[in-house]
Amino acid sequence: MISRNPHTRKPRLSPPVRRTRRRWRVPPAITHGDEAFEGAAILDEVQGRLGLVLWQSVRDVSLWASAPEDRRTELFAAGAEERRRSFIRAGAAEPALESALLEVSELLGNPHALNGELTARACLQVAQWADDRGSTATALAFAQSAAFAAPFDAATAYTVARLARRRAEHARAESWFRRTVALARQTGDWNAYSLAFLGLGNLYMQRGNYPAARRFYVRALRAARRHALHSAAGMTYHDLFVLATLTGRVDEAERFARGAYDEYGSDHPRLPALAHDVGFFWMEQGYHARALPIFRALLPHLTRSAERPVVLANIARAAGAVGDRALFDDAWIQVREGVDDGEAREGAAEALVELARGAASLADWERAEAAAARALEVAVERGEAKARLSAETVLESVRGRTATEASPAPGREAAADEADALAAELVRSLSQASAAG
Amino acid sequence: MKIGARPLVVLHWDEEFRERIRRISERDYVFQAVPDWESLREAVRESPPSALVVVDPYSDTNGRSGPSPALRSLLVEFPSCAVFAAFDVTPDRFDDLRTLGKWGVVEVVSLEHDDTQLALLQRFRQSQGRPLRALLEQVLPADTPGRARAILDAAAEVVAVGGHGRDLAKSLYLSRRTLLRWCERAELPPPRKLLAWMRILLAAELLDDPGRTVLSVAHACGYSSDSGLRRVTQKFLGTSPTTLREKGAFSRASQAFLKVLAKYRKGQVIGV
Repeated sequence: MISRNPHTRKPRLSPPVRRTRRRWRVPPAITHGDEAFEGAAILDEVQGRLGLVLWQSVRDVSLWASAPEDRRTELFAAGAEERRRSFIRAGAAEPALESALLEVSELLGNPHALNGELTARACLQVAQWADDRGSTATALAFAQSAAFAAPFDAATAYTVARLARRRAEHARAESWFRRTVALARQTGDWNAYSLAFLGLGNLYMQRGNYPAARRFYVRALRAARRHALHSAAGMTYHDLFVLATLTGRVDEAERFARGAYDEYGSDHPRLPALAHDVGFFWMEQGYHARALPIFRALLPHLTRSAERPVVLANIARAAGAVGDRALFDDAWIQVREGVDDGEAREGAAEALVELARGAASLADWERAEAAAARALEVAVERGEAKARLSAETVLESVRGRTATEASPAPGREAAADEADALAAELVRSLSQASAAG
Repeated sequence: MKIGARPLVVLHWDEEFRERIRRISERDYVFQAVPDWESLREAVRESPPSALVVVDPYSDTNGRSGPSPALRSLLVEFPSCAVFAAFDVTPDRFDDLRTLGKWGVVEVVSLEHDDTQLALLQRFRQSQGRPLRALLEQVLPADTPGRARAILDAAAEVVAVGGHGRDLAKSLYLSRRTLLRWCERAELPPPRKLLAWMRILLAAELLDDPGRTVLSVAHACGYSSDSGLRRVTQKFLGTSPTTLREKGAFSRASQAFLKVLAKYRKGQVIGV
């Protein structure tokens, strides 16, 4: 259990109106998953001697953090530090990891050698190492130990919440997000405060509770704007945009997209993600000509190999819809090379559906049917229900020789100028960013 | 219902270690050292749910490598029991460590490392009510809010040691009024009712232990006879402990509890 916050409110200059002094209570967070004993999940992720050192280290920190400060010298057996240090050195861990583990081991011999902040920093280093190699349970365990060591640090609590959410431990994530909100309010860490509300909004969106998600987003946005946190405000607008697209509020979606772009600025790392989402939204609305330049400008920004076929497939779909056969053919070849290597990859089914739509727009029914049929196979193989539904719908349309694309809704001409301007700005920012390297 | 002092049953060859546990148990626990697995089994059968068991998992392995099969039998027979494995954790025992986790050991004490009095006390406190918490975790719906889970988690800890509403408030660092408000906001029953349900779940958990009789469950839960337990299960679940056990006690009790929670979430139960 994380100990209570000793911070008390500062004395007021004028007498309080209320007679009672209300104190904020920090909600306790859920500190365990479904593992048998503390740190057991680490043993499943990291084998052998290194796994054992990590397991012992994470337990040492949480034990150290849970003990009263004046009694920590009584925690570990004599000689524990020397044994641990020789054990770590024999483990031949990577230098960065080894130094962090050695730092943690200092707690065994002299529990006052490190304060909570330094211990938390060492734990977060290990968490980062584990996260980089995909060992998320280990990352979560160390991040949580860091949060035990620095119990009033909102940013660390936020790190735990994000890791828990990534591991789909939603209840645990929610409890840490709520804890972050309370801690951030007490310590004035408004960035963590805003991001925690954003995280809660995302959690509720994943659960399909859109009204609750929207309420959290609005709170995140208020905090971000009040404290001029442009990145957090941009991320919140971005998520509000996604929520608006899911709930079919087109005007609101475009307004939020503009808000996100304005807050991100032209060189924010999340700008390509926003551009992709906005481009896809317009394509779904039937504005292919507006979306196409955005997808083309996105290509140089893609760093992950899994992303490239998705964007190329969007290019193929938009190019087909505007009648650019040469561009469609070029994108078709590249997507098929990326997804047709015999392995059903993540995102392959969706990419093939987009290809089928592009081919159908060009009345190339043979290729459209082949792509849709392959998309269906991949979706079934991977058990992707949403992609399977899309593939079946497109396949049916293609076999019936009917259009797969929606026409723009009437009555939205007034908003077209603003949307075109946003599209042009997105393309310009993406091009400038890629030119700058 | 009253649960007495927490038994701390130890089966370990290391006399010095046993003595250390005896010394720390003076205030909060009733220490009992047992010589073999059979005596340990008997001690566990009659012990309340708050009991802790510390074993050397390599005791009496009869020349076999790995943890003793007797430990596995104990955990199969009494899955609700909080068992600590205390041994020298070395790299060649890495697989054993994982095996112990799979068997259901709630915590590991590393000898010559974190086997000091203070470390043991901390570990004992942290493991309070862990078997019930783990079971609850499995049955709660995915959309249960985090705040509700945190309160339920604390409630499981509190009932495992025979605590009451004030203990729950204390464990969450809240006043009793604030706890009441928190329960309302988390769409949970008021603390007293919540703890009553937790005791039912705890009794159901014990009823699922193949090694316990209904009478021993009643005794373990603080009732002087099985009629007390029967009265409570009739009131909350509309059935007797014996019938409950035949149909999977924890599964039935948890289903009934989830129905009650759903009523609170739908706002069908208003006020306290």
